[in-house]
Amino acid sequence: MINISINNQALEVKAGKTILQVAKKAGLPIPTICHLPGLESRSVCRICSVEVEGHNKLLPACSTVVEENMQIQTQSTKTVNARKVLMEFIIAEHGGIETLNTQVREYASQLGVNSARFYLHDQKLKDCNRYSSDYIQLAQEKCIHCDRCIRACRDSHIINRSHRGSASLLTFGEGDSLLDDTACSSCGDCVPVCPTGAIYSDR
Amino acid sequence: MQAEIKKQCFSVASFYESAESSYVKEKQIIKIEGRNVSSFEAYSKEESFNQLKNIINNKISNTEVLESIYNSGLCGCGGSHIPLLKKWQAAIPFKPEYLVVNGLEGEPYTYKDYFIMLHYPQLLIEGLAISCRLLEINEVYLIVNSAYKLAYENLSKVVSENTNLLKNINIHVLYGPDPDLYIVGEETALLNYIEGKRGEPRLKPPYPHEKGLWNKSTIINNVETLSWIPLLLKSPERFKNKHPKLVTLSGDVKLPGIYEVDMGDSLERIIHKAEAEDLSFIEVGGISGGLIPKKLINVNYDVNGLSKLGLHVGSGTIRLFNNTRDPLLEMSKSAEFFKEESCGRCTPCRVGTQELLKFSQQLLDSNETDESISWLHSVSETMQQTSTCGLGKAASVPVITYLKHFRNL
Repeated sequence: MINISINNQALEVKAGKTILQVAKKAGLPIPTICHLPGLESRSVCRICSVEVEGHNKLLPACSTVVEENMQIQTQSTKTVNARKVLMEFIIAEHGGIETLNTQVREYASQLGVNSARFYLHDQKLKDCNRYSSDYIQLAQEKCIHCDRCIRACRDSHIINRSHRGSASLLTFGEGDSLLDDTACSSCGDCVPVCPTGAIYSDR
Repeated sequence: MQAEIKKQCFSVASFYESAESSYVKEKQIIKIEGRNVSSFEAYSKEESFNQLKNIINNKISNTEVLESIYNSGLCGCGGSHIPLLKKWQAAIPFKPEYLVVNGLEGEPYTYKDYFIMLHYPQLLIEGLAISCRLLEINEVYLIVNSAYKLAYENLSKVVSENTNLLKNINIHVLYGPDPDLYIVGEETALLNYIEGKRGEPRLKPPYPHEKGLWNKSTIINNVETLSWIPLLLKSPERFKNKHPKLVTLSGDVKLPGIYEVDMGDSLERIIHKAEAEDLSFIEVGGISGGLIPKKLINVNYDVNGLSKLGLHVGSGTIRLFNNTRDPLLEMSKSAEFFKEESCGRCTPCRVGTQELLKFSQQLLDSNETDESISWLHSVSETMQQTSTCGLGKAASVPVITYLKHFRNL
């Protein structure tokens, strides 16, 4: 066991746990989007950012392991401001708030962010959706690159991020393969984990 | 339209494919000239590997070498400016297995590593061999920018001609990906590239010295950093109360090229040598660096001096602009660059860089509002606080320094 403090509250917690895990146990939940228990943490959405004394940058709670005497702030102004901007980024990239899943919308409303001042995806991304299979469909323009589908897939080569920067895309297999041309067995594991409906099945 | 879609929907492998950019072309055609690089010029070919031989023949002990490096205060020249020994010491408890030498030099308008690898390849190889002996490493990956063909050949030649001195060290001289893949120059992205994965930065911690190449402890050093080692052993007096460093001076100047400067000197003195014409403003630290007007050039060129103006030394890149140039346009070019070059992995950088570009477009159209300026500052702060790697952290520096120094915002 080690001693830490969260929001000035002293706590004795199990060593080896992440800030997210110990905060949840202490009844101090931290919002998450890309994190999903059971999948390795990638800390790509950064909505779980927290302030830790001694660090000049915010740290992702989902992957930062607690250390002795760590002093953590989960609701400081700096933290909340960053979360607000990131939530707006996510809404902007998704193209709105209505079709995000309930959990994300709830976090958004807790942060008081209901819309974005800009929307990003252009029509061109939609043309990539023809790579869908009969069973699993892709709505590229909704993707926020949380990487949940990439991590949930049993085969690490099937779903990939390709290109880079503003042109980042989800693609299948090597090159511009149709999903049907990859080793995909249509198990559907990638569908329920998607928080945006970018990967879906209408079967 | 189909062709366009095809271009968009490409694979992981094609992350490394060429997209001809002006930066790549420039990397390929540049004529590299060393000017006032006295420490390098004073090191003759005949002296090559003398310092390494002294170590092998026990004329200098490892402790003495480490002391010399400590006394020199040599810092990482790739942009970190962390004392070299501090970096090494952190790795020692993990028993480092690999040394990765980063010769990608992806920063546009930067050619100091190219200069070394092209004209003084033996210095780099000697420096890395000395490092390997000190760190008890026998596997080296030397990654060279793929536009630097001649440098690659020169390095390979030096390695093959000195197999006797380099026995017990396995040096892999490899080309990097397409030179316009800026992000692969980030140290953990480079590790992924060497492992054959998509060149995205890794989450830190674990740091490379804890879990690096193939999960083994790895030290990553810049070309220039290691090349200084034989020089500081030969001429310790050059480092007495001084920190020499190579910079690339370019832009609207009569004498562009590589200059050896003393850190802490005034920027004015440093750029004076290149003979600027009608100087109006300066970009310090490369494309991720900041812009300052001419009136601020008496700043000290070192980490402390520059940080007061929101700038950083970076990889020692300085570009000078004359009075026909527009700082707003240069800042917008940087914003566009980062929008393209973000790897796409983390939200703050992928979306934030698009926001920066949108804002610079607003400035170009004179459409900015108090609200959009305040939003821009929030975006910049969030990117600096939460981006995974240095790209996202630095991407807003050009726009923030532009607002500060040219618009008082």
